[in-house]
Amino acid sequence: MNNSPLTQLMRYTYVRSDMVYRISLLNEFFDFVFFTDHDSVANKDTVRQFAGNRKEPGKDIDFLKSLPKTFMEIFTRDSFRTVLRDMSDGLQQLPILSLTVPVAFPLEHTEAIGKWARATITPDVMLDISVDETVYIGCRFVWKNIMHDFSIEHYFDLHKDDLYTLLSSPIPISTHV
Amino acid sequence: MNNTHSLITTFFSSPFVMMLLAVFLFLVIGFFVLVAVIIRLSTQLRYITYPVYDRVIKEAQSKANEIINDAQVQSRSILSTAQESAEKIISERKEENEKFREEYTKHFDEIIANGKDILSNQSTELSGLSQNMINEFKKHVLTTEVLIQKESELVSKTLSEESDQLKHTFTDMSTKAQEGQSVLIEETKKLVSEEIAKEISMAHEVIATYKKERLALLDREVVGLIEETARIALNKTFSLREHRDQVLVALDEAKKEGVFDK
Repeated sequence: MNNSPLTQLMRYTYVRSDMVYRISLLNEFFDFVFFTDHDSVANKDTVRQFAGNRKEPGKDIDFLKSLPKTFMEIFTRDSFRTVLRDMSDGLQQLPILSLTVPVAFPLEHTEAIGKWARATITPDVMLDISVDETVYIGCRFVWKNIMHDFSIEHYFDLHKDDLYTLLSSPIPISTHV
Repeated sequence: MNNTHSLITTFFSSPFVMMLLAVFLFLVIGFFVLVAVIIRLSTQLRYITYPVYDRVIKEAQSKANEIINDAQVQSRSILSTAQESAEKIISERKEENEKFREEYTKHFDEIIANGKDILSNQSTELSGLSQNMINEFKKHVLTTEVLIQKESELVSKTLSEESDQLKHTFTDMSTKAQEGQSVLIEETKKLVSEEIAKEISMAHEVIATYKKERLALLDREVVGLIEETARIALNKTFSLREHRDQVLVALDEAKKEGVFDK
């Protein structure tokens, strides 16, 4: 795995939609850094100034603050648009695990699933998560254009024979009146 | 007026004009003389030619009359000669005709006489022949009667034999039919009892299948109820962390099944 800006950002991002959003956020941030009246350097001060201009800074600013200095130094006034476009193009080439889950997970849980996927399936995999209540438990996912169902239906199918056996067995007659 | 008179006087006093007038007068006189001569000459010519013409016509008429007279004489002589010849020829023809008529009558009488003889001979022969034919016919009738009687006897004999044979046949058929009927009744009874047994067996099978299907349906409904209950229970009881863990369990299971290796 190389050390490109996309690879570096993937260390903090596991969901494809989050990655798209963060590339867009970086574009906005570097626009602010290089084209407004203040120091043209991306550091914690400029992040703070950028946060002051946003209505709901919250997690976006936390994310920007978490980025290392070496990552920020890659982007210059002349090159940042090209780098960000290359990142978007690179994102399109990454393998995607389209996951359907029964409930909406917070970031920490999606990160846990993402880490598992990168450790188990492939290191550059990105998640594409959607929610469907009829999954009830487990998940359904699409991998390499084939859908696999590991939802509750899968477990019912696995144990259906046991259920029928249970139903067809004679009901013990209670001796108690 | 004076000018005109003087102009006329001057004109007529010229010698050239006088000479021209003289020539003109001479020409007028000559013309009248010529006209008179012509009139006179034509009158004389008519009078001169008339007698010659008349004479020629008269001569032609006399010649024609002579020719006509000669022709009439000759025609009369020819006519008389022709009449004589015709009368002669007619008389000759009359004689020939009379002779021919006599010969014809004679021949006709002879023919009639011969015909009568022939007819009388033929009638005699015909009566003989018809008698023979009647005799032959009688003989034939007698023979035919005998034959018919023989045929009739033969037919009646054959009919009685056929009748006897038919009686035998009908008797045999009746016996066989009775036998066949009893066999058919037995077979029908057997078939009906077999069919009834088969129908009962099929009914049992249908009932068993129906029972089995109904029970299977009930089982499915019960299983469905259990599943629905499980869904509701799981959905309500699982926390987010437990859901996340179940997702990871499912992905682990998929990994074990080799889904990600494909």
